[in-house]
Amino acid sequence: MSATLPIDLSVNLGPIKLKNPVMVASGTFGYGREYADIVPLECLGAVVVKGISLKPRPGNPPPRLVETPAGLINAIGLENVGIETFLSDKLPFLRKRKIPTVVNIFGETVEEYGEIARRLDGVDGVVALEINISCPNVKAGGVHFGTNPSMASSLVKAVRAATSLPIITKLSPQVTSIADMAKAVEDAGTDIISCINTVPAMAVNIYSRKPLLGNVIGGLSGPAIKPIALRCVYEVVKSVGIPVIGIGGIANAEDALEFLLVGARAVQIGTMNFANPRVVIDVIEGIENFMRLQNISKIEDFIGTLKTL
Amino acid sequence: MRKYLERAKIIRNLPLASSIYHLELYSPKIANEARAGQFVMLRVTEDFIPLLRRPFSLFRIRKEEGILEIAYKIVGKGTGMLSKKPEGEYVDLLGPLGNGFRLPPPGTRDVWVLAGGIGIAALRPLIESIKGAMPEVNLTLYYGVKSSSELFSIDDFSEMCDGLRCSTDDGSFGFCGNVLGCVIHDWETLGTIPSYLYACGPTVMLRHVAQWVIDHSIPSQFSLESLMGCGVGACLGCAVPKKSDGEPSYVHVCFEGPIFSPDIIQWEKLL
Repeated sequence: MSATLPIDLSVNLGPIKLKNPVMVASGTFGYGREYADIVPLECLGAVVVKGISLKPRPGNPPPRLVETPAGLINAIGLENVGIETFLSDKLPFLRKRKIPTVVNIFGETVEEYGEIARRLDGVDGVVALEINISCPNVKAGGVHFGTNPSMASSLVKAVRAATSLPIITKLSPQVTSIADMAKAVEDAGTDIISCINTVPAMAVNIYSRKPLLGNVIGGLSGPAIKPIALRCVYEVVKSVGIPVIGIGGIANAEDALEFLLVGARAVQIGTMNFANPRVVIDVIEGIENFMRLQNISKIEDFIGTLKTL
Repeated sequence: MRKYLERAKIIRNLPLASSIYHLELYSPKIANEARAGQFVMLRVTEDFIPLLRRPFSLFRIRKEEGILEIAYKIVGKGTGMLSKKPEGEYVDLLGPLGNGFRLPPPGTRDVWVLAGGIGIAALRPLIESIKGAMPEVNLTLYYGVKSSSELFSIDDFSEMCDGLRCSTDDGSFGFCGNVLGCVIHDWETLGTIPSYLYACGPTVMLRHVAQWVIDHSIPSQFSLESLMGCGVGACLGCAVPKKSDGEPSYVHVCFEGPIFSPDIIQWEKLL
């Protein structure tokens, strides 16, 4: 019987419907094309592209990466091609293949966020914007917005006023109360919350007595941060009424199911794409297998069913 | 150029020289596609330590047999674990990656290939393809290491190249000094200068060789190495500073390289 059980992986994320809850996280999958030989992109719930700013950005001086136990600290510095080149050279590849595309955006001022959101409003192929309010890498960038609820709120309002696209707001774990931050961006009009971004971190060399990153401080990602991310998602789900996307150290189907269990309606997979470029496919198949074994036909029936006292 | 993710069977994984191993893998899809100067990202473990794949140059591409050879040096946890993998086990390979070497322009007479340490591992397919496509080229390999215990495949290289000049920092074999020292010695004593040059080795060596080729206007291609996250241009973690007038600018070793013309790199910012 279980072999014939029809499996429905589709999820509703407020205004967006995805064929399955598995997306790739911004900054870990380029603009989609980079992995197209390896991953059948049409299988993905959605692709979240590398964060885009109004103007191209060169990024941080190297070294930009350092590996830590079960983790990776990066200080890429939001290098990207800028909105013009994104629209002319990068997006058409995904649009042609009808891949649901979420564009991650960031800026240095509220006005810049508004401007880039306006430029993407009504662009064919874009299903949502994800606002990066929390990237810890660039001094002038998101860190201020992401740590202060009123600043985060004004940012979301500016983007809301500039676009009719669904808005996902991506939260940083580096706050006193992620629940308060979530409520602030919900009240400001975000449709969806994604969390978490990387955890601010650093690494040093005791022999050279130098930092291991050109930017000194970077953001930790990978399996090392999964328990932190799971706790954040749990707290955010409890505090808001809008859908939540879980991100942080997901390496296999079991990890993804943990996030769905605590109430995330979808997940994004990031750093593990580097170790195993087919991880997203493995996760989708693994969720299906789990559902067959557990006799669950709709993934929606599993989401948020954590039993607490 | 198509990339593949392939489970490759280990055919051989044995010591080749001091802390250097020789890995042979059955990986027919990648072997069929690969060119000289390209690399693969190898996943050492399915566990999370180390988390990332490791980039390796291709030491030999045996297309017909579907075999790739890698010569690697044990430098840390990842390569240490790799060296313990027995024959018959499988490893996960992503490749072929990067741009690869271009042949020297038609009519080139003298080509010098400079290898520093394990940098030799990226140069064997280059030598093979130059000698295959342009047999008239007079090719000299300058191969430098710290000490003679690190030299390998000397007979092989001696047969493939028109000239082989070995150097060791400690003077235990060949010229006493580094590769560039040997090159400069030959240039000064013999008065010869190459019409084209290739180099692969530690960054400090490449930096000095870059200065020399730029000073002497010798067209050249260098193979760079870098820490890498993805190997495919997604993470942008392998940036190296590029010469620029205004704002900082970077090139990425994994997809714009690993082969670069040395005059575009801002070498003084690289160390």
